[in-house]
Amino acid sequence: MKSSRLVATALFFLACLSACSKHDSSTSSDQPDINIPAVGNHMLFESSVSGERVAALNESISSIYQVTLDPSEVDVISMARMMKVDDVRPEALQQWLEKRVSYVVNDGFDIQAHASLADGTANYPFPNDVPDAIKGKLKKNVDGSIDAQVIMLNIGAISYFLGKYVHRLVNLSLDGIGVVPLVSPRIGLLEIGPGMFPDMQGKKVQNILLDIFRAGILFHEARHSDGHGVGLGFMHAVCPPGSDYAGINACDASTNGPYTIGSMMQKNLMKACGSRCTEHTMTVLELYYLDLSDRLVTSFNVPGTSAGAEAGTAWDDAPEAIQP
Amino acid sequence: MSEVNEKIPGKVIVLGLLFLTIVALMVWMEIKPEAPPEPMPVIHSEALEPATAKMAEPATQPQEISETQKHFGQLIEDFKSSAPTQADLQKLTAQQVHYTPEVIFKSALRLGDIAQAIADHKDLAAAGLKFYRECAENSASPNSLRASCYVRHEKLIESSGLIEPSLSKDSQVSDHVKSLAQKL
Ligand SMILES: [Zn+2]
Repeated sequence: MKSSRLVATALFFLACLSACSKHDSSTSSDQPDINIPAVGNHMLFESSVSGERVAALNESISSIYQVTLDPSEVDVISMARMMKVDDVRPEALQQWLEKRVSYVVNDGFDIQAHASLADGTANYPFPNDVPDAIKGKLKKNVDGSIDAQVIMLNIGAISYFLGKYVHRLVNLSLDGIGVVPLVSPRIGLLEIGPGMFPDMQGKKVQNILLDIFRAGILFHEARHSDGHGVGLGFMHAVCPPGSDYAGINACDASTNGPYTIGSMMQKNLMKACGSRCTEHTMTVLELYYLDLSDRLVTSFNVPGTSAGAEAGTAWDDAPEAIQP
Repeated sequence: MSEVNEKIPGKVIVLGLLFLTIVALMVWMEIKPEAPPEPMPVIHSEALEPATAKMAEPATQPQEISETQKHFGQLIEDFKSSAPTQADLQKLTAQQVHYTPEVIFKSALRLGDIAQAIADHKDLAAAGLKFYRECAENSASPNSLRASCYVRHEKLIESSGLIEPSLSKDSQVSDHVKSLAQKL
């Protein structure tokens, strides 16, 4: 008995020489990083933004160059049409982004503490148009920022709107950058926070996973810098019953809003990543995409939306600006 | 023939050495073989691989499967114990759900672990299909999670070659979840 057990054990080791070594070499913890050479960008970071966060955002922008989109892909064509770009090369996408996101501040940014109103009234276009998302929700002073900040984290668009509401130009003082006059939502001032830098609890994931996730958020926020009148800032609508976020301002009434732009960018980058992204990364990004792409409301869900910003339609993305 | 001759000697030497070591061990331990050593006759070219596999199967396969499946079962438990319900999501604030909320973020990482384990160990495909089906059918779950499981289920049917009904005709999966899954 003992000898046959010994022989069987010996043969087991022999059988394992090839099979077991193969088995162990591909464990679920194998999430190799992709080499992402740094690419410069023009974003300016307030001094309160940590070096770690600056590096992460810079890497996210650089990652666009590593997962080049195929211009003949249906989803890429659709996204390009929505973004009104003819070129989907990384340089063109970065340019689109930087037209809309120029400054980055940290979470907890207090608009009131940093804002001052310029002397005299300013001439804003569409003076009587208020986006449906915040109709009746704002007080007529910069205190309203607190309400608006929960709808989007594009502080530039919020501050522009608040100035418009009181007919005065808002200047924001940013540590390490200087005073930024909010003459248009296109000034592009973005607040970053835990939503963009979730606690990974020590879990190792591929770098490209977080890079693509953050790129989607950057393009989402960039869209908040667009629009005019009732469509100013492409502000989020209340999600309809049945939605995962029913009753919360976390959906888009427009079909070309931040959730659509951000999720499509994420999806296209994910697809372009191909075999360099692991099964883990693909699965995770797929779920993020599904979460974000399920944020659309229709005219059936939200009847009676304002002309120019009807639910279930593509809104005019032309930005507005203070007129001389 | 020459190819076979090139491959065999190495294996014969390894097996031979192994056998000699075992015999030496037995002699040293004063163990008298009760029967002729079973692997002896299999040291021949074509017979080597299948015979080894046959011998290895009863002793090793169940142990290996149970370890892998035990770990897989733990991954599924981790996912189930932390996945939010749709009602949980609706209690969050607009700020918390502006982007993918943390609870979904973490569930996605766990779902990723499950998918990676299935990709690494093909023998988990059947258990994976069962898990994905239950996940997609869970009406208390967020639409995004269900749609993700739906997508993974359908992809796994394709990649594993297992005969399993598609979820497209499953009445326990809502039309909304099905159409959301189609977006991918
Ligand atoms: Zn937003």
